[in-house]
Amino acid sequence: MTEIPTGRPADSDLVAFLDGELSPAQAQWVEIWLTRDVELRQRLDLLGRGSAAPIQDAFAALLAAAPEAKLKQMLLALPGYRVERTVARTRRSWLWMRSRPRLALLAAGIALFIAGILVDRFLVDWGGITGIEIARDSEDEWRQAVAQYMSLYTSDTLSGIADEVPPKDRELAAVGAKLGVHLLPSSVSLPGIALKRAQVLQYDGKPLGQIAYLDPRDGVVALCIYTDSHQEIAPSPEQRAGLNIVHWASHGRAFMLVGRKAMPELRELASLLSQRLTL
Amino acid sequence: MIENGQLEVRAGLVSHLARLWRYGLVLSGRRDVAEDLVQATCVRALERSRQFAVGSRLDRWLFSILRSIWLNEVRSRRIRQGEGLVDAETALVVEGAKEIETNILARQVLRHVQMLPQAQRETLFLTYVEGLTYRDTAEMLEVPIGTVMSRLAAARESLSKLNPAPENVSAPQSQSR
Repeated sequence: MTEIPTGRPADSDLVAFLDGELSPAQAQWVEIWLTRDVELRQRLDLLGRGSAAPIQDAFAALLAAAPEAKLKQMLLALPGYRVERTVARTRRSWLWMRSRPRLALLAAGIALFIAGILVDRFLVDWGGITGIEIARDSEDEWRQAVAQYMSLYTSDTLSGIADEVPPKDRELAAVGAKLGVHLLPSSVSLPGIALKRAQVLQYDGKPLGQIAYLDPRDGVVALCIYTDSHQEIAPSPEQRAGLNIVHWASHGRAFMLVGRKAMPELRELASLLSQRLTL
Repeated sequence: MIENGQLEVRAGLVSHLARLWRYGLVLSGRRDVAEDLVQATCVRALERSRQFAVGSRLDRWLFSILRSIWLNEVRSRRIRQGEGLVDAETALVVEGAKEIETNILARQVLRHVQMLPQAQRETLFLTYVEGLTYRDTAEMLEVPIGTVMSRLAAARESLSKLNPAPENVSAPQSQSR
């Protein structure tokens, strides 16, 4: 409504006038008519009685009647929703790296150096980040979080780490001690792919171990171990966040092998690990 | 890779659930259908979160999705299944009555709003309750702005009966005696 109409204002013009939706010139046109047209003033009065305030009040009451708790539960149960608190922080750091590639490389170098020293002290809090409290009510939530996190890894994430240097033993021992799993180089080494790093993270207040490998063809593969499992699960394939995963659980520990490797190969590797790893 | 738009959608969804439900109730007139609409909207929003323009109004985007699901999927399915559309008797008042029965005026208003034709009801809701400008309402409903104005005028005329002018109050009373 930009042009100034001619002739007598219609009901719709009067309502727009009441709602403040007319331009100053259009409002002036209506005002001029109102000063000389009694019927139009009565019409304005009638339409003004159907005002917005009682409608807003009534609908506010309806909003209060919304089954909000039920709707929130529904939202929490949707696949793909329950990961953002992890991803938000990862995403922020990823954006930072993307916008400052040189600084990021430097920072990555420093971080990797420090990681070797602080391995079991440097706990990344994977929970409670965005301010949205999301309840955990399923055993597989941690795998979704890990998959989202691992989807941010590239070969470059690990390529700066030298293969098979002595600190790996200490890293593995520290991670193993935290998780209550015997982690020896011989038990976690995999044919054809290099063991790069072992570190302890944290998910929902519980330790989460990550042993990262670099495959020259398929990129990063990671064995992740979480200390919160109540089931015995045989190695099972799945896909999350565009990554292939084989997961299993045994004696209160949940394991997942995740990467971009083809599923048959990943299954073989997972089978190897599941037989070797003991508490 | 997770985009900013996706994060904004995921982070923001939870704060719009009640308003989405209310819009679903205005459209469908049924509490259970409104819940289904909210769920379908969340699923669709998560699927399409890459398409959300960062910094734009998430609530409007979600409303558009809900409306589209209602028009193109739920409403047509309900017609096919013979479940009908909005029934004035299972209206906003009935559906929300338990919680708001102490507020007589609110019930009266909701009853009147529910009696309005669907197009008027939705236009009134978006403009006066959700606070969209005429232009935004027109965009949401995909109608000319003049249509929004005429719908609001018709709705206001109907609702003016809720709040009669003082000189009109005595007439119906004297007739009823």
